[in-house]
Amino acid sequence: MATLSAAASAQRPARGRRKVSLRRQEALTGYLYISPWLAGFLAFTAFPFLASFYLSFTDYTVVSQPRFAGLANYAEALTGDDLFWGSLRRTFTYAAVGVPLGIAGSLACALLLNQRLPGTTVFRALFFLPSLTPLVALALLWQWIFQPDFGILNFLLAQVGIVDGPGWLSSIEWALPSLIIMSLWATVGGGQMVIFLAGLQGVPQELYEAVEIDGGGVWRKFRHVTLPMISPTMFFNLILGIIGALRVFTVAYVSTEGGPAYATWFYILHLYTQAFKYFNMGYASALAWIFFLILIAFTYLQVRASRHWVFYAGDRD
Amino acid sequence: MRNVPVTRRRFLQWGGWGAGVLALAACAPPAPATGEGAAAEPVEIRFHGRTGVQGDHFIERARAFEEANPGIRIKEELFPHAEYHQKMEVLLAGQTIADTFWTVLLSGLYHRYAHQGVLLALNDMVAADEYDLDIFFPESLTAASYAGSLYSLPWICHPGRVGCYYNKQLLADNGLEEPPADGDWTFEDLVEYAQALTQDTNGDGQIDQFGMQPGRDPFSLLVYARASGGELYDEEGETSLLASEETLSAVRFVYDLIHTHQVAPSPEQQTSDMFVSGRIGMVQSGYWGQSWTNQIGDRFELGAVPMPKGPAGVNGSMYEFDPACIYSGTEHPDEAFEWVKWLANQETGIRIAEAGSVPGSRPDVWESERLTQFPIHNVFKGIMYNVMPFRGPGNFRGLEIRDTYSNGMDPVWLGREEPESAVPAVSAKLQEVLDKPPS
Repeated sequence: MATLSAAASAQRPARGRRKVSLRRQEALTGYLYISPWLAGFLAFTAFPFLASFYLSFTDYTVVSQPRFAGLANYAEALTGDDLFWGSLRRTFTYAAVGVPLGIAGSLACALLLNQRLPGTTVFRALFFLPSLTPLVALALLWQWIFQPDFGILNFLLAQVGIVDGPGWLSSIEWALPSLIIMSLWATVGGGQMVIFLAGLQGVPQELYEAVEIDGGGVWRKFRHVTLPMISPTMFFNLILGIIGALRVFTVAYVSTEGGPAYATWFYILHLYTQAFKYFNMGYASALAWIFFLILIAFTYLQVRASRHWVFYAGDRD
Repeated sequence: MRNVPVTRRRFLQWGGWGAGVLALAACAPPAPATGEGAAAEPVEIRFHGRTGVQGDHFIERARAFEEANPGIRIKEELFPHAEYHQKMEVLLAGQTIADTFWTVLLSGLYHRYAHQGVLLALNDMVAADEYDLDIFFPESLTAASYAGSLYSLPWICHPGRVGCYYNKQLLADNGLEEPPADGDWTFEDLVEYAQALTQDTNGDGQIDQFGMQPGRDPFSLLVYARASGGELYDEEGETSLLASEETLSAVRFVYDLIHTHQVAPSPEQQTSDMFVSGRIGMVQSGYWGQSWTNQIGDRFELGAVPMPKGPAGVNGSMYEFDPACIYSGTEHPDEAFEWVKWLANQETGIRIAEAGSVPGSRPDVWESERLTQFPIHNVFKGIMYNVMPFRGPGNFRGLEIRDTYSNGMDPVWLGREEPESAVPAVSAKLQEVLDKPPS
């Protein structure tokens, strides 16, 4: 008996070593499997991310070697660059107008397409189609729609008595609204609508029945059941919508190049121009980091504010 | 023989490591060619150019070059214009830029590259080869030189946005004679022509046909400015002269065409195809405007004369050329020089014009009968012999200048501000750019 127990205790460490070794082997195998992604992440995401942080403290024009410049790029952006605050203001205006309209439009579409009516599936597909259009194609298409003389928009305005329609993309006042309209065409009925549809289909029917029993109508159902129950979906769409809107670039780059008179000179366009047109890579890196911090702060504030209006079923009484 | 069991996990591990080793091996640079067989391999010269008409031309000329030079192979790497210089910068940063490449003068990038040591100075090679530089327009060599060294051979050239193209049919229908082909007409004449051609053709109270479409970019304005005795910058490219009396009068002239005489469309009224569709009588453009013929078809006949003389009594112009450059880090400078010489030869210069671009930078190209058979070519040829010199920003920030100018002048062209109130502020902004260190 004593011999058996001694043998067993002698085997225990050996089995333990084998377990550690196996775990290590499994870990190694795991790392091996993810190594292609890891290599790509390190080379194409992590390294540029860290490199841009370093470059933001340098004067770097690509052709020459980076020269350390301390906080000069950040100071230039905040105090010396006329276009910095203007581009930031335009970008936030674009987001402040475009995101609520996009969310409201997407929710309205989702509510309509959530009805149990014949042909709903076809309409869902049709509403989703515009969001599949590449942004460059979208911008080129809308240049024709916005064309002042023979564009369809001014033609339709003329039919309702507005003969001198605006110059749209070539107008200082109308260029920004034009780009918002353009983006809404792709946003409303796109991914946001699909997410809202999924949220709406998760609302328990018995809650609507309870409102009906209490004598509530359509508005009360929407106000007191639908909205609270899809508030997490709304929050998700809001966060992604704001981040997406603040990163607006392609439509302005293709349609207006930031003009006329800087009317559509958005922040990312400013950053891109500094980096890839004027080759001020150090300064552009500083702009990128400032923008990153703004986005982080803005998202944090939204998460904090969401405690007051987002309802997670099961979290609260 | 001992059996070693291979588990599935071990098999996959070996497979993973094997794939990793193969991937690393694939990333390794090729071994240098040695031996007799390698000696026969042609030297490969890489070349960057734009896609489109010029790209097709480069490919055709590269094959012809290879036939004449069996020891050299040209590898074209062509990029769309919109992203061409971004790609160049990335390739420069990675030190993988081609041995030879095309670039442009107006953006300031050519002189920037020369300043930064990207371009190979060709003086020694030109001397060793006894290459005759007198074959080029002298302005080409001035523009191609920087700090006393020649950094390219001129490929193509033109005298700027100096052409006043017109719709012969519209002029004839309105009883107007064609403007003088030698450019001996004035700003006032231009206004008279434009007024006669501006019409409300359907009687709805709106102008449907404009007389003139001036260019609104800084290089188009320069034609009016120089005709008025003005400039955009001083000779060193350090001081903005946009607000000088002469240049301001040129801005006023263009503004008046749009807003006072209302003979030119404002930016809000203008569309890209107004001229080719017959809704504008005359339009300012460069040598390349001849390619409108393809779009016009048989709707009307295209004519062109030099833009008119201004208050200074001269026709404004600015020499522009596109250089063929050699990268200073090339391992094959001699072969690269042979290719660049080929791009600068007479046949290449003629063929690129025939392809729909602009001619080579040498008088024997512009005088070639293959080109002089076209009347519009001869209009521009006449200007080439009196062309005014190129002038760019001294700190090479041409693209920044252009954006600042365009956005600053938009309120003027849109009629929101008078030139006299807006131009000094725009000039001050341009000066801020010119005061920056070299890019």
